[in-house]
Amino acid sequence: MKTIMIDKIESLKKTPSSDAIVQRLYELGLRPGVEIKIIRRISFGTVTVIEYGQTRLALNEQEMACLHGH
Amino acid sequence: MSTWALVGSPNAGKTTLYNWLTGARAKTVNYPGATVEYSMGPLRSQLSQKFENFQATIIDTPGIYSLNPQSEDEKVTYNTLFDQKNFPHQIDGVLIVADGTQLNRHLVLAEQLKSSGYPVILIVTMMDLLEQEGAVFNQELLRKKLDTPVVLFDGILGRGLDHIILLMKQPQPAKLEIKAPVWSIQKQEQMLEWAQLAVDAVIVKKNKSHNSALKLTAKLDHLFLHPVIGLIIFFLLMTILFSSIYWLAAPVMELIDGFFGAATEKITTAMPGLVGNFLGAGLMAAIGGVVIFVPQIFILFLGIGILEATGYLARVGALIDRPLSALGLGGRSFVPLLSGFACSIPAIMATRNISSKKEKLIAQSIIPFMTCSARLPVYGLMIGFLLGDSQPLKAGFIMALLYFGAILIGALASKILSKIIKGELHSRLMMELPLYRRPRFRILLLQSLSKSKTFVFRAGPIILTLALVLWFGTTFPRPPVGVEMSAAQIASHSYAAQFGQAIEPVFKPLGVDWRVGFGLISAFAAREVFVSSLALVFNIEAKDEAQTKGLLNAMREATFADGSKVFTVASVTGILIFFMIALQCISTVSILKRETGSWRPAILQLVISNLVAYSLAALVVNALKAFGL
Repeated sequence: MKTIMIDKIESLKKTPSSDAIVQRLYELGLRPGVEIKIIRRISFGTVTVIEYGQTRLALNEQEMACLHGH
Repeated sequence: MSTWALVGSPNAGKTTLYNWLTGARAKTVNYPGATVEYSMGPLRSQLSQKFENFQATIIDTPGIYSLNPQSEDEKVTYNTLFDQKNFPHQIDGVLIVADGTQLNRHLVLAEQLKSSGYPVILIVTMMDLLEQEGAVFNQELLRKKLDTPVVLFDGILGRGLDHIILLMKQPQPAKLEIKAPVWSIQKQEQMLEWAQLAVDAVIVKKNKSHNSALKLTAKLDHLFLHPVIGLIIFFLLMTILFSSIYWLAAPVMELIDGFFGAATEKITTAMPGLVGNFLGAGLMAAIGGVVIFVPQIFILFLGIGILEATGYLARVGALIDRPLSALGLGGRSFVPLLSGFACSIPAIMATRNISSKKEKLIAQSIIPFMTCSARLPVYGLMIGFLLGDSQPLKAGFIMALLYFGAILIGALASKILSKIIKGELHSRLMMELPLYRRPRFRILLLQSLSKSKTFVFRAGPIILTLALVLWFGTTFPRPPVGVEMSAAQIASHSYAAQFGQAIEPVFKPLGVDWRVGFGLISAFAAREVFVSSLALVFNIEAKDEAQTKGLLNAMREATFADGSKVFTVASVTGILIFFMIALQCISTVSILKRETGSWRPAILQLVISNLVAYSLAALVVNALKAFGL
């Protein structure tokens, strides 16, 4: 199970909904400094299930691409 | 009288608290986005009396993540709080509902609400889960940090309810200027850091490694979210649910059938003549035709209720996001689509939490194809005709096939619509997967019973009116004095027959006669009425047999003027196809208009789906006839 420390939440590919996605990721408690666990890739590899604290979240490719970390 | 709004993040427990406060039985589930419209109710009278006749109105709102709404359901909450010109009720205070296990982000919303100018009370839910984890909650410290009253609430036992009402009853600080606070990403980040520090101080875990709910969730997700096994489990669960509607309900349905058969016979024997004929062969046949399917409806609602309450449905949404994306939908469409198997109306409303306009419109358009509970009586009767009652498992399998057939039609329609509807598709998933929870069966049973009751009462007035009209139409004119005619002979010369024969050419391509055509027209009042309508036009008088068996026998004996059978494999398949595709429910059409904001898509769907249903059914009937079926 891979662990990532978030450095930045940003959409590199600008679309009409990218700002809203970044905002919602913050509202869901994600921010730089938060450690996330990659639980699994599902739905033919297009959806990533992550865990942080007590929260489990499923993100599609566009949403997952907003989380940058190491 | 004061008015309080329950506001909080999705799946925080607002509706559970609303039910405790008002005594309502609004549906509570374990996935985000279940409430899409606000509900309002007075404080329960027992609670009001207990607190010196304290009167209050409670408003339950859809979940929000912040005061910056992104979807239609979130806008409902935002407008409830801030559109004071158009929202008809003056809100005196806000009960902020926060999940104790997700406090590090729910506290940020609490801060936003606090700075909106409303007097607030923070209610921390899911205390049972925190206690299970051996966590100690410092309520007083949180009160000091927020400078807001804090109540710990247990949604299972109702602990904390009295404290909430006592706080609501107290004189509240004067409302400040009500407005949504200015909030930026930077501010959000700062507040998240503050909230994390607050939570670390307020919640002390005795044993940090002990987290049974999360461990259980991890174990179950290992299975349910497995890329292959997860999909197999999903299809198995759906097959069990759809087929159990038939085989599990069969014994109870037989009992009900026998009861109505006996009652009809008693009435017609005790009251010979027109009155007895109306009460027995008219009214009892019409009511029995629908009541017999209540066990199937109950099993359907209970099955969906169990899946909703466990937290499993959100997983399925994530699991099938990619296949749904290929059809122009997304994982967020899954729950509304599944709800469509119970009833299209709440399902169409549930699309409000889909943020993409294109995806929302596609989902709203294909929900009416899902096999709603009103189609069950028709399917039940037709499968009964095809297979008899000796093969319940096979019948259950056919029932599951019909459900999967509806999904296939919906998928095809979705694909076509995704090509036609303009607009770039930016499907949003970002789905919270809640911790798995054990369903509360007592509540699920009560909710399923209440929905089954609604099913009967919704159809009741329509059936009564139809029974009167059809009984009159099939019983008059009476034969001349001195001429003896059987009920069937009278029916074949009746006003209904005269009208039906005039419109019979329309139904000829479907391989059916005017009696079935009559049923198809009456189904536009409510689909389930089709069965009652058949029972009425066939003038079933139970003679030592159960009522549905009587109808099935009448269907088997029904012939055209040339002696050929009306109900054959071909014509019954045609009826099933017609019901699978046709949009007959007028309430669905009006809710489509309301949710899309225009009559155009609603009318288009009404016309197109009925034309397609008719044409496809006619095509299949004639093809099957060519094979001698």
